[in-house]
Amino acid sequence: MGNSISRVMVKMFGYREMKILMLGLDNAGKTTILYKLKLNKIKTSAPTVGFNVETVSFRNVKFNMWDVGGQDRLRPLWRHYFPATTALIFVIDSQDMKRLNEAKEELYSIIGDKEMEEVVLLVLANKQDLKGAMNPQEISDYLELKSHLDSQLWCVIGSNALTGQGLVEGLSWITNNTKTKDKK
Amino acid sequence: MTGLEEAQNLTVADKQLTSDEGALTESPKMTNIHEIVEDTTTSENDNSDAKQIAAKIRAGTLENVEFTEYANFLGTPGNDQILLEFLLLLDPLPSSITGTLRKLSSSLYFIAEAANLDTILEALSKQWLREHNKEHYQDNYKLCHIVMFALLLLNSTLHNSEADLSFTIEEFRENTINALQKESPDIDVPSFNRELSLCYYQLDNEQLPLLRPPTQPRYSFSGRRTNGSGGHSNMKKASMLSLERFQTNQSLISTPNSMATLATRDTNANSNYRMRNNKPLQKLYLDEPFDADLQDVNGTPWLMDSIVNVQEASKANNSTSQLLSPPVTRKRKLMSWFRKHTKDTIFNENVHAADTDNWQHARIRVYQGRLFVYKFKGFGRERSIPRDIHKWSLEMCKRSCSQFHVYNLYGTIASLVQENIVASENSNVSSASFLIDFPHGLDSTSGLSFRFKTRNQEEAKQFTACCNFWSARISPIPSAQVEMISNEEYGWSPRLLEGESGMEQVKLAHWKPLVGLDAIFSELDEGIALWDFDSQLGNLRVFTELLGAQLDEHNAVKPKMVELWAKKKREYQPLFEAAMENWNNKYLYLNKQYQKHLVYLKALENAVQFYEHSKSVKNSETENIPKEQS
Repeated sequence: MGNSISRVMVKMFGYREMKILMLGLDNAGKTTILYKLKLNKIKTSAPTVGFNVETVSFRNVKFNMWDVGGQDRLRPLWRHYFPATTALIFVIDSQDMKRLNEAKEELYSIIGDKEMEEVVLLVLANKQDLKGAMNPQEISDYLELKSHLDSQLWCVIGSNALTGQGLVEGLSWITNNTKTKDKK
Repeated sequence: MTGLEEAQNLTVADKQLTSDEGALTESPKMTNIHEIVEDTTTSENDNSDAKQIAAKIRAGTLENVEFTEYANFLGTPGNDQILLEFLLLLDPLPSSITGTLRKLSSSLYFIAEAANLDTILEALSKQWLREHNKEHYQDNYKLCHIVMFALLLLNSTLHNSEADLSFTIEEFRENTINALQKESPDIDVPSFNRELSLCYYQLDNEQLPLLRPPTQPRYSFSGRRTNGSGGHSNMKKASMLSLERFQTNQSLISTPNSMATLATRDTNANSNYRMRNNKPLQKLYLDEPFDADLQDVNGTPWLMDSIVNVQEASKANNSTSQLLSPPVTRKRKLMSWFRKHTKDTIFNENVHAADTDNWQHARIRVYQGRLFVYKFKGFGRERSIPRDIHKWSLEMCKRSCSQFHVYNLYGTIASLVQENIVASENSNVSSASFLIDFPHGLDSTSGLSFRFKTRNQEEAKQFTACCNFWSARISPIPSAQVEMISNEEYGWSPRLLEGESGMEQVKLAHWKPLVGLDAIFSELDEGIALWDFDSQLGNLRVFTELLGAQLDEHNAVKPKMVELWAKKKREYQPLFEAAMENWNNKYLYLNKQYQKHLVYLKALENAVQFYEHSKSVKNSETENIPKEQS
């Protein structure tokens, strides 16, 4: 027992370090995703007071994921973590239409930071398993990524943290695109 | 519902349980709203209940909530009163913020979702400021809240081995003061600098203590997420014939939807281990009512069991696997499929047809999502095979065979060999046979291919149908890639084709398939939500339609690309070639997925027809019996 996504990933691709910041509104599914991947984490460490932080390996990449949330006034505190960030995973609850605008504002306030200019953005349109969930195309249209993020690489992938669908593809997309970036 | 009533339903973040002990309170009616407002008894009761719950949390004895979920519970909206009561139990709070955090984290298992930690810290900062009115906080709890949150981040950064991020004292001070100034531009920076430095050293020397849970967990939750829409129950539709219409706007990733069930899974290795040790194999699918009727009937899509000749090869037809390979080649044997290799030649693709030796007798059974192979070498000088092997029990087969193996049929494709050859009876054409190709993945079956020679064409057809039925039923649909939206440029974006962006600005990315869950599925043994038959059938219909439409779309874009790039062919020749390679790669991928899933779809549809037919035959037989009797 114990075979899991990240163990498989490690087998597949080995190691390379990369910082990934995972953000999103509360209840978007960040923790579920993190713990879906945590099940697959490569090392077990003593729990530490505070936030869920996990290291997940995928291909040559070591993902360092922070589940950082909170109110507006706390957002400037995250800036410290931005410079080291290669990719941002922004998780959206695809079924929660009422808070979609809030999520959009949150996303742009983060991605608008100067430190985040070079970061590749993966939007996980999460909870696709729930009835009435918006699909990736609809989420992308709502967020207006096409018109607002002209010079930044982005991608919207539907995900279902229960099965892991979309997560593997998302990590694969990040890995593919940051590799290209490294070559420059 | 008041916050306390919700608390009695024990809402923890996104979890909700109803406590048997919690009193149900009728929802307030608009007609007597004034009565409710004037009723102070209720709020007194609420306070007393909140106090009780808070005391239980402090003592670590709250029922129905896992000890490690207390912080999530307290931070959940609606539990504010309980949170306040809990924090009052910590009185008096130390005068230093670090000390206050220490007191909190030694009274509560303080690992939780960020939003819930935020709520708790906000309440704590209000209380701390009431007790310790320090001037530089300007009587503004928000400043205190920011400092507390910053310290919690610092604690994770300094002491969580997973954090893997350094934070010097200067960086910490600068970062925190920046956040404080955003809240209140005229803060007393020197005072905060002094306080933050001290806090940094205190935390650097000793991390915040984590309250240990009691050794015996009292209660546990199974699922992490439920919500108002019903969450994930284990309900299944009554019949496979009652296929629901799927909402077209819903992503196919909904495959394992609310009807899904979590189950541990057998990898190929696990299945073989269990077989060898006489342990029951785990289910690879959700049981349906029709399974009970047909799963033990030989010659159906549910079960095929016969004596065949088998030949094994390690290379399956594959025109796109090279797309998955990374640029760096690896020496590890396991990774051999990732090595850069040339595309399959016609000879390689038809390796089976060229090889007429190495056939082995075997009894094979396709059953419950697996292929069981019992190989027999033969006995005596003439190496004869007992004639009645097909009558043996599987246990007997296992004992008497020279080799046995079980394979999970995830992602496999079975196909008839030479079904397009029509020849005279006495011509030298091999007898009926079929192939099973395993997908290129990571486990030992990666790229494996079997050829089975059957007694006749009909049997080969039945085996093919049976294998594809099970593969279609248990393999996840790789829809995430097909549905993803991105602004990557591969050479055919509308912006480029319509001339909105110039050629000189083009940064072509290399198109290749993303690694999906399907590629690693056979290696996963953890809880994966299984899906019901109807969902899979419906999603396969939607998925093949989507792939068909995407193929058309992709084909339509090619002439436009050629037209665009042809104008400046010489100047941009390398780019043109790269764009066309991208086009070709995507075409191959889409086409392969389309063909494969069309086979899957037909296999399931045929199984439905088979079941309906067998049911109607059975019914008519039942009806005829009384008539004959009368």
